[in-house]
Formats: sequence, C-alpha cells, structure tokens
Amino acid sequence: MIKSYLSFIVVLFTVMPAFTQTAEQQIDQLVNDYHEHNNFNGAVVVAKDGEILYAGGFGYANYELGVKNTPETKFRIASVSKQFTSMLVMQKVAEGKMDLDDPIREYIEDYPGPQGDIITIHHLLSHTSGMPHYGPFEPRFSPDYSRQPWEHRDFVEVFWDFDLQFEPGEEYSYSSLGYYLLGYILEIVSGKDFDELLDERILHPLGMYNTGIDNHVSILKNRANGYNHSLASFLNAEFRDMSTALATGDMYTTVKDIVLWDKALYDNTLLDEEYQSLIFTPNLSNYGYGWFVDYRDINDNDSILTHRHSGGTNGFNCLTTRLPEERYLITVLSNARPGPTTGITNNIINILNDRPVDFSRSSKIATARVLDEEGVDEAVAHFRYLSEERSETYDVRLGQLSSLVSDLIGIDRTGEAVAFGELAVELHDESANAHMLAGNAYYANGEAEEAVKYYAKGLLIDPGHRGILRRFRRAEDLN
Amino acid sequence: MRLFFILPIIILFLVVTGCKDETERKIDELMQHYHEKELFNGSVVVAKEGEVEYARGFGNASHEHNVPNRPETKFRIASVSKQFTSMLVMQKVAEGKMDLDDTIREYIEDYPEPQGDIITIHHLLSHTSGMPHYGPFEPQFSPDYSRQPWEHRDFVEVFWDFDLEFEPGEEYSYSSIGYYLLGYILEKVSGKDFDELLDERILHPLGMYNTGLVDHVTILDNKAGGYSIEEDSLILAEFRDLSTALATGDMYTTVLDMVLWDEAIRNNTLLEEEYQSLLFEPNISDYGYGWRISYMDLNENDSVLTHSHGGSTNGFQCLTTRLPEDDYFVTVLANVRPIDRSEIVENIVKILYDVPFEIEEEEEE
Repeated sequence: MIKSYLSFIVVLFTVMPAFTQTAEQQIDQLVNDYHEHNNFNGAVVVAKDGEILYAGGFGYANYELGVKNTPETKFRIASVSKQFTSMLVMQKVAEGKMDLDDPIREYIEDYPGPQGDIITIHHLLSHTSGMPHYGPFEPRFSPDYSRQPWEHRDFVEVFWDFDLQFEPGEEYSYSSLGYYLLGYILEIVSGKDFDELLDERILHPLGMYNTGIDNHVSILKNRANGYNHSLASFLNAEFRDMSTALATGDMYTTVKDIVLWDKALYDNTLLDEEYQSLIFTPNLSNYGYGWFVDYRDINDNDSILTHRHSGGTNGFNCLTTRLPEERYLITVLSNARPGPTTGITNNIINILNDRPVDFSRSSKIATARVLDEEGVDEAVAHFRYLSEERSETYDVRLGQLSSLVSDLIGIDRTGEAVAFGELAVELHDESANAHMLAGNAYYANGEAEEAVKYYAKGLLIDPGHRGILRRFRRAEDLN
Repeated sequence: MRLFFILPIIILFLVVTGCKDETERKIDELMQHYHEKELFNGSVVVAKEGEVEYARGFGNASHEHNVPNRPETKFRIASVSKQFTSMLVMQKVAEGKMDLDDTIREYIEDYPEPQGDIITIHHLLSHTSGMPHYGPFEPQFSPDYSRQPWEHRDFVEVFWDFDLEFEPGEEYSYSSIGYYLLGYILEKVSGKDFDELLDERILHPLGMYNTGLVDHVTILDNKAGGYSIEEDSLILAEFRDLSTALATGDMYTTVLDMVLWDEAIRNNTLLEEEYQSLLFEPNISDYGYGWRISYMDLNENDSVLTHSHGGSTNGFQCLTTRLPEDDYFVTVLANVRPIDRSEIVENIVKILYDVPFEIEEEEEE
C-alpha cells in the first residue's frame, strides 16, 4: 500500500519538471549541462537582494586527490580584484586622502616624466591612462617575470617608463599595470600593505572571511588548484608568483563571499553614494572604475543594465555580473581555464527573464573523448558526424576545431593536429582561418612546406589577414 | 612571549617477542607517536623479502583539503632518484654503450676543459668528480634558477665550467649537478628523453606504474602537496621547476612501488650481479653508485649493513634503506619538511631486530 503511494509520488515528480521547473532547478540543470558536456569546473552563485537563490559547485577543486568543488571552495579571481581596488581608492578619495585629478607624481615623487605628470588617478581607474597592458613584456612575461618574487616598488620600476599608447584621457585601453600602480599608491597613501588595507576597509567590515590576497605559500582551507583544459581533460596551470598581480589580480574568494560584497554595494555600506556612483558611471568604452557598465539585449525589444567584470589568470577564469535594476547577482568562478563563464551567465540571465536557454554542447570535448578511447580516425569521423547530423545539439563552429588543434599542438601530438587541421579545411573550405589552422598544424608537425601552401591559400581568401601573413613568412623562412 | 620548556621524556619500548603482529603493532605505535608530535607527515613501508609487512600513511596529502596520506600517495623523492639514474647508467655499461672510464668529452664533444677531459662516468656516479653541489649558484639558486624552465643542455651549460673542488678521483664531495649531467648523458647515449628511458628500462618492466618524473603540469592521481615548517608554522613549499632536477632528483613514487624496486634489486631483475654489485661497493667515503653503504649500530655490540639514500627538496623529504643481510626494506616518504629521517628509520630497524631504544621527546608548555 505504502509502496504504491510512493510510486505515485515518484511518478508525479518525474512528470512535473518540464512544466513547473523553478528557476533554481533550471539553473542547476543548465550548469550541470555545462559541466557534463563542456567540462565546466567551478562554482556558481545567483543572488537577489543579497539573498542566495542558487549556489553550486561542479567538478573538482583538486583533481589529483579527488576533492570536489563546493560553494565554499576558494578560487583566484584575477581581474575581478580590480573592483576591490577601485573601492579602496574611492574610500581614500571620500576621505580627502587622494584626489581623482592628482597625477601619479603626487604619490611617487620620482616617477618618470612625462608619465608621472600627465597620468591621473582617474585615468588609472578608468583605463584611459594610455599605459600598455602586458604587451611590452611579451613574449617573456611568463616565465621570466611572472614566476619571480617582486618587491612592489621594483616591479613598478620595471614598467613605469613604458611608452604610452596615447595621451592620457583620449582613449580607452585596458591596462592591468595601471591597477598594479594603484595598489602600490594605496600602500604609500595608507602606509599599509595592500592585504592589510583590504582586510581593514572591506573584508573584515563585510565578514568576507573567505576572501583575501592569494600567495603560493599560505595554506588556505578549500583552495582550488588551477587547471587548463587539455583535450577532454586538464593540465595543472603554470606557476605565477602573485607579487606580479598586486591589486590588479591577486585575490581569491568564494561564490558565497561575493554575495556579501554585492549586498554591500547595494547598501552603500562601504562608501557614500556620491562617491560609489562614480564606480558605476561609464567613462570611455563603458568602463567605470573597476566595472564595465553597459546594457545587454535580452530580446528584440528589451535590454538590461549590467555591471560586470571578468577575470583570467593561470588556471582560473571568472565573471561576475550585477543586474542592478532587478538586484540580481550572477557569479561564475572556474578553476579550469577557459571556463564557459559567459555562456553560463548569459543563460542564467535568460532563465531569470523567462527566455529560452541557448546551450550547445562542445563538439571539441565530445571529439576529444572519442580520441582518447578510439583514436584519431574515429575522432575525425565523430566530429564530421556531429557537424553534419548533430549541429542543433553541438557547437560545431571552427573555434571548436581550433581549440582541439591548439591543445594537440600544446602536448606535442602534432600528427593528430594535422588530421584535424585538414578536417577544418574540408568543412570550411571558404574560411581563411581554417586554412591558417591547417597551416599551424603542419608547421608544428615540422612540415613547413605544407604549412606554406595552406597559409598561401588562406591569404588568397583573405589577403589582408595579418596573422596568416606573419605565419606565412615564418614558415617560408624555415622552408 | 611564551616560554618553551624542553622536557626530556623517556619512552621505553619494551622488548617482547619477535612475533610479526607484535612487530607491526610496535612500528605503528612508533609512527603514531611521530605523527602526533608533528614530527612525521607522510607514508611508511616496511617489507621483508619483497613482501609488505607494514604500510601506512599519516597526516595529510593536502592540508588545504584534509585529504589523508595513504600507502598509495605519490611523493617527490628528490635524491632517491639517483639510484635509478645509476641503474640506468650501469645498464648501458653492461651493454657496452657506456664505459665507466670514459670522460665526459666522449659524450659531449664541446664540454669545456679541463673538466670534460678528466672527469669520468665513474667519478660522476661516485661523487668524486670534484664538481660542486649547488654552492656556486647560491644564494640565488632559488628563485633565480630553480623557478625557471630549462632545456637540459642549457642548464648543463650554466654549470659545466664551474671550478672543480679537487682533482677528480681524489676526494668525495656530493654533487647533485654531477647526476644532472649523467641524466643528460643518458639522453644523448639513448637518443631518448630521460623519462622515456626510465619508463622503458625500469618502471615498465617492474610494474612501477605509480612512479615517474614529476613535472608541474601533468595531473597525477594521489599526488601529495609539499609543505615546510618554517618558524613553527606550516606553509606550502616554494615552487621549483623540475627541469633543474633531471636525473638528480625529479622523481615521484609511492612506498608500495618502492618495494617493487627493492625486490628487483634483490633478484637482479634489471642488471646482472657483475654490474649491479658495483652500485653497492663503496668508493671514497661510504658512497657506491647512487647508494650509501654503511653499518647502522643497533646497540653497543651489534650493527647491521645498510644500503641507503635520502632525498630532500622543496616540501618533501625521504629516506630509503635496504638491510641486505636480512632482506628487510624500510622507506619513509614525507611531504612536510623537515623530518628526522634517520631517527625514524633507525628506530624502525631496532624494532625489526628486537633491540630496545629510547625516544627523546620535546614537550611544549
């Protein structure tokens, strides 16, 4: 008797979801799909008015030891640190200890000219200083600079006389070095280490006890290891000494702690609205101070205001998005780079707005799984099949093959890379980029002559393609 | 400021019978003691004639995630790698592809003089080449060199013209860069990467599937994190790019896999006795080829022959000891550095031989 009641209830629950799934259930289904089919590995939170609607962990915090991600797992958040830096600066501005129009030289007397005299705090906060991003370090930022321990002052001196890209204030150009400099200036102004200042002025007041400045020495409970996607699996990320990331990308947090931060922004807990509003006032290119502020289309007629910022560093990437009109927060933290943070976020916005989800499975990962188990011929056939028969379910765009080829080159399986490069040309024979991909695979496989042929074909399709031209010349030299 | 008193407490381990269960119980009690006093975090194995008599993990493989150490946990073994390198070299010698009296120049034509002409393979294996240890790099070995990725040849060129400490063959002076060089020579002789050669000639034949070369990228199941105790607190070990360690200290293994290795040595599985015996023949000092050969005192009257080697690197420390007269094998692999390896192993050996011993214990008040 009891048994038949039970099965009735079970049947009821299995029938219901299609019609009455709550937003929370839909989000859980969505993120599970990303985990299962696209190897999303990380944690997700959705909150409204500072209350958690959904929080979940997916995949592993530590693959070696089989430790799962949870909403309590700590992730590096890279450039999402910038919104904490801009808050600390604006607190100092509100106190009259810093001024947005002050040039760098006000704080660092021996900063070289002209940079020190013409770049202001406002320029640094809004990425309009003209300072470069990591460009001038390349191709040697990693490992020559990034693995070493730096005194903050010493690292500033490495980049302080880099040429400006334009007159300060004239254009927007994202510069992590600019935020590093803000961190160093905050240390000078406050007379405190950046982590101490952050603790004192933000983390402690808000009870964000699972957030802080990361380093590679302290033991942090529940800290996720960082990984990179490689075929159907992962590799450990390269080491980076966080002394190269001060204030521009050195923090860790949990999805739960980020909700406390979001709430503090709604409640002006840390800063009066007069000053906080500047953080969310777009300057050039929709950038406020540490936040992008822009409208996103949710359908043909409507768009919604978002405050957002992404972050990416060795083994981690993330995206945090506020929808201030509805007071929603969506944060996706991943410890397997590149994690599909944008896709997850956009689809959660769709769910919250009763819009259909737009999810495609990764054909790269599906193909890489076949590659692991059955070899390259079967894997090529599988991608072709997905392309021809399953394109409604799978993302079969060129980018998928491109990612597969670059993973294979990265682990020296260049023969297999060639097979997929050829497949790219077969499936996209009108695409210059497909030819470049095949050229790259041949080049990596030591067949410069073949590479030249593919690059030449690519240039015939798109004569102005600078990437192909550069590779063409390189391959010709070798040939 | 807190005061710390050191109270010597003497714990007497009573001698009862040599019963196997009793022996195991006593070893377990000993290791528990070291673990509880925060003097050991790692795994330990005791084997006789290739049979595991005792294997257990203590403490955490990951302190971030509270994952316990087990006999299957993988640890970096640092210089214990040298015994695998010497085996690979002697295999090549047995095959006539290398000669112990060959100079470095036989293998690396442009190796600078006089080093290249006067240092032989034998000198490198026995640490009698006169090459320094890491001294000339200091104080900047870490981080300037150790965190960077190196092509093996490039790293060899960094140290190949370091001054010799003495005429090759005249003295003993432990040199890890000498073993690095042996690894590079093996790559040249075999035309293979060191890890491939190791796999092919040792690990695969012995079924040591949980042993290999560490890099910082590959995901290894059950890999322990490395930790250090500095100024009384536990921290994560500094990063080291293992390209600076090649054949001199870049391996990982489990205590269980090490028993397979011991078994292969006892049975001459990998090398005929004529050549293998050279590994365990002391040259200057107590060093053979990749092994130390010495007598461990059990008490005032008795001592026992041991073949042993320790290893120590960022976050890891270990000691492996063979007792060839009675076919015992003891290995401790730790992922918190430092530990008192010698004391731990000596006390285990005393339990095996039913010899009473004392532990001096520090207590905090």
